[in-house]
Amino acid sequence: MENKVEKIICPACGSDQVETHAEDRQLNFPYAGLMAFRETMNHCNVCGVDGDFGQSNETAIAAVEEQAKKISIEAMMSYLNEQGNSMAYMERALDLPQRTMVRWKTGECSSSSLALLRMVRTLPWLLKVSEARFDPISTMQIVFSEGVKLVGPLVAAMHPSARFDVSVNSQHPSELEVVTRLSLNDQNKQIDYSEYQEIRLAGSRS
Amino acid sequence: MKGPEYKFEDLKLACHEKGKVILWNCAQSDASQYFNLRKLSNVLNFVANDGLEKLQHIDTRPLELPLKPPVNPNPNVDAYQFYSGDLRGYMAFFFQPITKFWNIKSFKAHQDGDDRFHQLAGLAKFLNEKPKS
Repeated sequence: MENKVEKIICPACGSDQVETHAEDRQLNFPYAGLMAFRETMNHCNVCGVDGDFGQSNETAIAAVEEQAKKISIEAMMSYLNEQGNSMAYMERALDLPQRTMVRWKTGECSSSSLALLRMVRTLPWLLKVSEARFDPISTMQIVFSEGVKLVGPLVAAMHPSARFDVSVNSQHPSELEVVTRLSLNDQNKQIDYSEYQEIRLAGSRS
Repeated sequence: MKGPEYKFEDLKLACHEKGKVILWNCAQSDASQYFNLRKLSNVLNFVANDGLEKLQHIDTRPLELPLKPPVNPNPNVDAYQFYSGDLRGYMAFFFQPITKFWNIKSFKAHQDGDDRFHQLAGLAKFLNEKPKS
């Protein structure tokens, strides 16, 4: 730790007995993890208040934010590509001009683009929702289907032969009907039984 | 209860200007941790642009500095609660006429009280109970 006394005025008490030191600090960024930077900190020896009295950390934090942004964009794009989502597909699904994502990757990524990318990386099925032009019925089906994908493994973890299925019945175009079925077949115990549960979600197309 | 010492609009105006408002270290750390406001400028822009929703004055108390040195004049500190989405926050600030700086000394997620408070409340209830005849 480097310590030195400078004539900086403490904003809380007005004393000039202010010590300045630098210390390593970490900030956590989505999909970039912990990023370290050198922070300047002031301490008033009279009143005991700590802070960045000289407001000198703005540049350091902005720099680490920019670094984290680049790392996270690379990581998020790589993940989405590995999951089988080509840039051309994502651009079409999100209704973005072609080569937009290439520009993101090369550094031309605004804060709003970064927010969109974080959402798609976290919930990749949003691509399907966007591809379906945010149609409420399709959106509900996709959300439900993705929910089942999450619930299925949980049910299987509870019992090795448990199954959780969902089928979408949209014979009536004006209504949405989703049927879920939870069945349990325990063959190890030579018992063939099933628990059947039906949940109907009906919604009118507005 | 005593009303606020300062006009909140004056703080907002100061937040629009560079070098008028300072955040204590704990306030900056909490703003980063709880509100994703990592930089001083993030916090000041948030306050200046009406980020504090359902703002409500909680109390006003004389400033207590960590090492308790004599400060003359000793300013009062206004404490507010606010919301940002579902998150309830707490902010305390004061204006130091000696330095002409607005000091934000606290900017964190608001908690009604800690365990000690609840224990004391329980004790008070116990002491106030009439003995069963």
